[in-house]
Parts: sequence; C-alpha cells; structure tokens
Amino acid sequence: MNNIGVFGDSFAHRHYPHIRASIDTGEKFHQDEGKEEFLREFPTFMEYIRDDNNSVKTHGFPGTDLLWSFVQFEKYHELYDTIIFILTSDGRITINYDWGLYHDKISDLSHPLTTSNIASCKNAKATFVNDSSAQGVELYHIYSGLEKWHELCATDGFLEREWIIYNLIIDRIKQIRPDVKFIKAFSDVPEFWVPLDDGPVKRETNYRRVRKGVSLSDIMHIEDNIMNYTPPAQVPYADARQCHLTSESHKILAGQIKKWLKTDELYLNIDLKEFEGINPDVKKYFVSKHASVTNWLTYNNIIL
Amino acid sequence: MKTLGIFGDSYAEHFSRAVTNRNVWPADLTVDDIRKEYPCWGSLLPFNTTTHAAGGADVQHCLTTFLEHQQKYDKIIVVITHVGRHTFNVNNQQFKITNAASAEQFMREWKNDPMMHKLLGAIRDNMTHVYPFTNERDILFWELCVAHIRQVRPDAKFILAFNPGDQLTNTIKLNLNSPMTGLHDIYRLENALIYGNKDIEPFAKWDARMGHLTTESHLILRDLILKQLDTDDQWLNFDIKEFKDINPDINRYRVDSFNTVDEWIKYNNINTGIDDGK
Repeated sequence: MNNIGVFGDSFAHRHYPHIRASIDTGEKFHQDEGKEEFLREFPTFMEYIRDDNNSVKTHGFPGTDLLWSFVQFEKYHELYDTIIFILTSDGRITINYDWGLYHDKISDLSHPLTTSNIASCKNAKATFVNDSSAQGVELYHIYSGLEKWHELCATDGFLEREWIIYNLIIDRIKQIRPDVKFIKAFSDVPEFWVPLDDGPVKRETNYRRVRKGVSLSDIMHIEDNIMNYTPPAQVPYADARQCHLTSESHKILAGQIKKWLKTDELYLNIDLKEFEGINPDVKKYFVSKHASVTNWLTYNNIIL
Repeated sequence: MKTLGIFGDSYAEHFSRAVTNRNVWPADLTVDDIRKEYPCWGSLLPFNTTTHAAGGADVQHCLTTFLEHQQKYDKIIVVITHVGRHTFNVNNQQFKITNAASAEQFMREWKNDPMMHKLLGAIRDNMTHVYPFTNERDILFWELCVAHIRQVRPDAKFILAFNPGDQLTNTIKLNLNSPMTGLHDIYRLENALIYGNKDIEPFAKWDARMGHLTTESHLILRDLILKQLDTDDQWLNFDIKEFKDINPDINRYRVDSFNTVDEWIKYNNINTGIDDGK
C-alpha cells in the first residue's frame, strides 16, 4: 500500500457545504452529519486517487499560509510514502489562535486563525465589532492588525520578506523530502526589481505580480466560465465545490496526478485543455440555486 | 592574503554609536581616523576583510547581503541577529523596528508624510496585535535563513549576536544547536564595568565602543574566532568568563567623560584629516 499524504490550503481540504450554507439560510445541521454522503456525492482528486494500492490522507486547511502547511508537513511527512504538497499564495498569514478557549473555554489550537486578504479581515472584524468579551475585543484587534498586514504586503519591502520566507520554505521541504511533489494553487507570483540609482525616487512599489505556470485556481476559473453563474451576494457560502473544484474536474485532475506521480517531475504541469470539455450541473454545486439547504441536499441524494 | 566576508548587524560593523553623532565632531575627523584607533574583531583578523554588516539589520539583511556578496570571499563569518528584529524597507527608507514603541517613534518622525505615517501605523498595529501570535513565524524564518546560508556555504562560521534567552520565551527554542552565549552578553558585561550597570543602555551618541565592544574584548574575540576557524565548529561557542578580566579605560569609551569632543580626541591621540574615501 502506498500511503499518500496531502498538505496545503483549501485546495486540499474537504468541507461540508450544508454547514457553511446554513450560515446563510439559518437552517440548523449537526457538525458531523453527512461526511460519508458528501464523500460519495462530491468526490475530490483524493477520492479518485484512493484505491486498493493507494491510501490518501490530507492535512490541508482552508485559508492557511505556506508556513502553517510546512509545520504540518514537518510533523507528519514521515507517515507517508508519497507527499503531495499544494503550494498556496505568498500573501497569506496564519496564526495559532486558541479558538477552543473562545468557543468552549477548553484549549483547542487545532483550527488556526487564517486570513488571505484584506476583505477576509474586514469580514472577520465585523463579526467581533460588537463582541465586548475579552477575547472578542482581542480578536477584533487581531483582525485589524492582520488587515494592516495585508495592506503592508502591497509594499515591496514588506512583501520581499514574505517572498523570501516563502521560497526558503519550499527549499526546506525539498531538502527534507527530495521525493516531494508540488502542485501550485495559484499562478501569480511577485516580481521585484531594483530602481535605478540615478532614477527618480518612486513612491509606488517596485514589484508587480506576474503569471508563472499553471495552477489549480486556473481550473476553477475555467469552471466559472463554463457554469457562468454568480451566486447572490447575500449567500456567500453557496459554492459547494469541494477543494474549489467540481467532481468532473477532480476526476480529470486525479488522472493527471496519477500519471505525474510515476514521473520525476517536481511540479504538476496541469493540462488545462482537458478541463475545457466538462459540463458540470450548476444546481449540484450551488446551494443558492435551491430554496433551502434541505432542498439542495435532497437534489443531491444526500439524506442526513 | 585570504579574503574574509563578514555579514550581520552592528556587532559585525566597524562603527560606533558615537561616530554617528558626526554633527558635533570636528569636520576634519573621518570615520577611518577613529577606526584606526578603535579596531574591531573583524579588522584584527589576519585576512583581507570586508564587512557587509549594518547596524539594526535583521536576519533578512544578513541573508540577502550574504547571497549578493559571498562568492567574493575565501572565508565567511555571519553574525546572526535577534530573531524578533524586523527591518522594513519602504520607499527607499529603512526602518529598524523591534517593537511597537520603535514604530511609534518613527511615526512621530514621519508625522508630516501621510503615506509613510499610515504605513508605520500599520507596522505598529501589527507589532501590537499580530506579532505576539507569530513567534513561530519569526523563528522559522531565522532558522531557514541560517540553514540556507549553511547550504550555500557549508564552510560559513556563525556567531550569535544575542543569546537565545534574550531572544525567546521559555516555551520556544531555536532548533539549531546554537550556543547559549552571544556578543550582546559581552556588551552587558562591559556595561557593568564602564557604566556600573550591565542592564544600562548607554546614551548612544557618547558611546565610542566599536561594534558595541571595547578593543580589549575585540582582541579576545579575535583570538577565539581564529581558533574556531581552524575547527569544524559552525558556531562560535565561548564562555563569557573569558571577558571578565578586561580592564577597559573608561575615558577611552565614554566621550561624555570630557567637556568637549576635542578633549576626547586629544586624549585618544586620534590623528585627523585622513580622507576616509566615503
């Protein structure tokens, strides 16, 4: 049996859409309901790879930065024969916040506090703006600070440090596991330059973001174009795609990954053309196409 | 003669805090005039030595200058600085920030520049609300930088600027088998001898110690480093007791012992007027 360990962000993480979507609709579901049903109806590349010869376990968590995934990798990589590491974006920050103390008064550091951009910080801030508990106030300030952190990432001097950390981590992963296999979650990377000594002093930043390679988010964009559907703003959790992709794409992706795992190629060179012919059912992947989460569950043959 | 490249922070810099206070010094007094009279461990080593160190630099500066210049040198010494130090380069300005208070200080200096003031405010807010939760991030960066330097130059020798106890909480430890003593420990020992209190932060502009240390300590350091260069040890591991018997002339290192800078220059027989080429 070949044990495959997957590390990364939301592209390596299964979620249970009825729990998230119920935030929009107010319907109540139990945290642990439906895991097996969702695995069956919404398989990801991990389920498609899993067979009699391959076991797959993921340590991915949505919104996390590369450092957080690296720490998981350091802890668990020895358990696996094969490592698939999904590389997230450079402009993220994850901190170990004790959500257990906040929710249940019992320490639990298993769910990190993550932000991926200014908007996600603003949303989180809004959650705690009226929370006068000591931890609510603390969380409000943390998200405010993180919002500023993302603002600072728009300056070249600050981002350069993050970019160095990002690349040093990738180097370290390769040192620890020379057999590691990388998949890019995002294609854009920062490109820095040094202003000319005799040039004018620039007030803007000395970097730009450029596309480099093909990534999982490119598949998602292809799907977005094919389905051509934007859920209403008031239902932000309507998208039920697992790891941001439809099962149609996951099946193709798994085929490419299986071939790639047999090669010496470090990075998965995703062939995007294979995804252009998929025909996903919009009603399957968007809860907002239904009157309620319950209706959407019924449509997908998921009985809780 | 073999070449030596030195990288790091102020503990590897041939510069003193007093020298930065040039506006009160005679116009014909150059940095090199003082350097000749006040050598530091780098200039005392029997190599053609160049230092790329900069006061207040963070570990990122150590790494980037190392990567830019290391290939020029036969030997490499890296003085690795404090894990929590952040040097931000913003719009061609460098801000050496170690905590929210230092960010506040810069905010006051830049209060008339709305954009810079806002940026510095963002750094302050991060220092206050985010960094207390991101020790791991800083430590990992520190470790990765050291590991990368080792990977590029397995022959590189390392010296800790600050001991692990000065840098970290009890719950977090560096993972590099680094020594327990740093150059800052020598500085504190000297502070007790020169100022009567090891924890005092001397009034910077009158502290004439080069690289924060007396020549007496630099001579001992030179000998310790020379021995280390002949071994396979990557870290300079020294006992602070090696420095306890130094007997520095307080007047030599405290410009404020004199009524005027000229009196201090005369006392130290510093010849002026040599162009330092800067």
